[in-house]
Amino acid sequence: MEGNPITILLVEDEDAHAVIVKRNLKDFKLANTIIHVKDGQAALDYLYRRDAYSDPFSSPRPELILLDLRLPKVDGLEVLKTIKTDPELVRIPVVIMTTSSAEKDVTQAYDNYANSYLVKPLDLQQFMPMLESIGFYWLIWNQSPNIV
Amino acid sequence: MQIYNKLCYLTICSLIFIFAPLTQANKKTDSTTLEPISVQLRYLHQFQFAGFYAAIDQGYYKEAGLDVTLIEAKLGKQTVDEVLSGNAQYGQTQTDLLYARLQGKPVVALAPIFQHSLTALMVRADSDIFSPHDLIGKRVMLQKGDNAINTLAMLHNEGVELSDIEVVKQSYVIDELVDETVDAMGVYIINRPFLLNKAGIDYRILNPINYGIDFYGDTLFTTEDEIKNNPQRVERFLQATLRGWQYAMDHSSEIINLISTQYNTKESPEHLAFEAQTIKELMLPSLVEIGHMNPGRWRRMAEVFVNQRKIPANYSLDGFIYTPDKPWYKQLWSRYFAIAIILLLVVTVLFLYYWQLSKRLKGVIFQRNVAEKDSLRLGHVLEQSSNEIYIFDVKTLRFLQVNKGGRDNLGFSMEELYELTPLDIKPEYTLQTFSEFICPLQQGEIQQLLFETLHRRKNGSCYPVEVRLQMYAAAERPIFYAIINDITDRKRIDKELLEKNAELEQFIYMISHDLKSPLVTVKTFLSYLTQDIEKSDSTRIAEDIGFMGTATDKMSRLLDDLLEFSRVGRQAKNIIPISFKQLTSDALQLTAGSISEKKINVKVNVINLTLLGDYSELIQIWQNLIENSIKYMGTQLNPTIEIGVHDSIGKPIFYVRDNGIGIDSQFYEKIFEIFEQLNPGVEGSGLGLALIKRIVELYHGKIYVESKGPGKGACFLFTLPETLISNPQENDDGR
Repeated sequence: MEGNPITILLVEDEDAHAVIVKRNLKDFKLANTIIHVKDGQAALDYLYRRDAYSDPFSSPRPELILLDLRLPKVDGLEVLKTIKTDPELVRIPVVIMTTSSAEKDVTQAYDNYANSYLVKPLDLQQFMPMLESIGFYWLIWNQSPNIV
Repeated sequence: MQIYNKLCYLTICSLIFIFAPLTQANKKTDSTTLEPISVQLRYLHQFQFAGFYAAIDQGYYKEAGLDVTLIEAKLGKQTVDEVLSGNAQYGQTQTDLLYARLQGKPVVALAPIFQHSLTALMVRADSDIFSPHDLIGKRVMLQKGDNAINTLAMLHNEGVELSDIEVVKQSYVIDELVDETVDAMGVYIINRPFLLNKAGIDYRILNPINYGIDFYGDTLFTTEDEIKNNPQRVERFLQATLRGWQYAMDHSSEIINLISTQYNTKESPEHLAFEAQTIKELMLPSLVEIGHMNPGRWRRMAEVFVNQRKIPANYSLDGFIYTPDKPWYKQLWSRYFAIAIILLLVVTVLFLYYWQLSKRLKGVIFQRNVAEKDSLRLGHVLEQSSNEIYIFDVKTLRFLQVNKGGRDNLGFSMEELYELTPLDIKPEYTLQTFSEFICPLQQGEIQQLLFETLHRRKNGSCYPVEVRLQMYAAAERPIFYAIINDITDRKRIDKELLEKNAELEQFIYMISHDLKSPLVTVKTFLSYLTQDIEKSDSTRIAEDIGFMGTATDKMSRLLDDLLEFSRVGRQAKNIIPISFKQLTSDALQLTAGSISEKKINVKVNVINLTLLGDYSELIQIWQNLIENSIKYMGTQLNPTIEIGVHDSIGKPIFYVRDNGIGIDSQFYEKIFEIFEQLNPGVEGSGLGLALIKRIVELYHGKIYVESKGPGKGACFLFTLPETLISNPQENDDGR
């Protein structure tokens, strides 16, 4: 795996939040490419290489998906369900990253095989180490299966 | 009934009260010890005293508890004096009795035996004396003064005074009349005329009665002491004597025989028979009750004494006339009275009894009528009740009765229902499950079953019901009866409530998420800003501030919209008529800035329609829809918004159409949910369409969107039925 370019798919409707994630992950130099889409529909289009994302070279399979739950058009949970019920996508680790700490959201996410559930902290002093940990854990320590 | 019982008791008591003393009195006469008493006769034994002999012989005195001794008169002894001196307790004498009383002697007249005096004047038939007046200058033999008083009174009345005649001393024999040494003789008419007749001389009687002087004859008497000391004996003696007289009058020959054989009499049976005949005429036993006494006659007799100057005018007869101290119940009139009262009581009691009976019967009938009326009314009420009431057989489960409410809702007639069982209308139960279900009710383990299920109508449609099932086993044919509540409304309300609750939960959830999101942004970029200022990275500083600005704008807008949203339906409404034309032109006025900025063509297809509603609510529908169209116009070269109404059979459908970016059919419903935004790039909180939907629903309307796909525009259609209710045009359509 060493030297292979690493791609993260960031599904986030809030530009500001996307910027926060991008800044941090870049700072830690953990990912080569962060692909940011703003709604559930776009996320699925990317994963299924539809329309603008049909070129596999410019739209590679992500090694990690950071998924918000509250999304326009197609809800985050729907995106999760689609990924986890598709044999081609099921192995991609999906980390839910949202502002909601509602029990219902957490439960539903795990019921649909989310790999992890994180609540966005209000404070950057907590947000930064969290994002750093995600990167190290999922991209360095975690032994991922071979994603075709 | 109590009154009746009391009256019965009262009647019986009165009967005892009235008869008890009588039976007691009768008992007394049964006594075997006889009281000895004596009766002083005025003369020797003869028919003049027949009553005494009869009473003794017939045992009347014995019955009265008396042993009676009769004492014959002795020469020189006055009858009254003998009785007053106590030699005898009773006596029978003539007018001298009244005179004695008027002289103050305490004698009491018990009963006159003869209704008329026996004292009269007798003259020879061959004499020239025909009236008292003819006696003037004649020799007249009178009785002793007091007994001849009626004779004297007669003479006086006829204008003959004692000085006008020659009074000769009484000899008590008829010889003087026979040898004509006297012209007239005062006699006791029962025996002297007989003697004269015997001597072969005819006679004539000058009777005072014929001259207006009517004295009582022989009178039974006693003393005041006797009456005071032995009142009962007096009464018993009197009654027995009178009975004796009655017997003697009815059986005179028997008594004549009795006197002749039992009593030492000088008189022959013929003489006695003559006496009897004369006495009968005087006593008038068949006309006047024996012993009848009239106080008025005693007073008239006393007046004669006064006129004869025998006594002063201020005499008193008080205490002279015997008034039996009879207990009131013994008196004849009071017996009749008592009998009448008893009869009256009996009749009253019977009347009351039947009255009570008929009243009770009437009451029973009335109560029964009331009960029948009540149960009939209950029957009508149950039949007409909108609650469904089913009665069905315990064994066959066949319906026996279903009220109107049940028949109407089910759509079956009673004839059809007779062939059905509850299973035919309860799709959720089979025979087995239903039997198991009602088993505890049938076994009496529980009193009722309360459950919810579905009922299927004749037309196949189902409605939710609440069933209260009970068994009535007391009837000759045990039945189940069920009261059914159609709970369609309740279920609908429950569902609405659940929806509202879910909506509220969603609302809170969304608020927490959507408000938190910009807050995360602000706080995070504030930290970045601090770092970037330290590094003096001007590019990053500008970027940080930009994000923070966007986030706070978003928050502000969200809060405004939330406020707006929460106001809908909660503010006091001001319902007024607003024309459709007015609403559209006002909405376009409010959005005029954006419309002209984006150079949008607006087409309005107005019809003449008046809506009834709250202006601020209704205007928001069109305003928000127009804003929504402007927002999602995209890069259309010829942007157009069309506003209008399809009026199909009185149910207008309003529309706002644009030729903007359109909408994928999968999002048709999602766009109306709160905080949903299809395009993150577009300004807005995601509340606009949710707000419109909410207002439309307040007017019981529906809103939906149609689009031929992305890039092909969208058309929002909605109804507002509630705004049309009072529209006369609509009413005419019979809505």
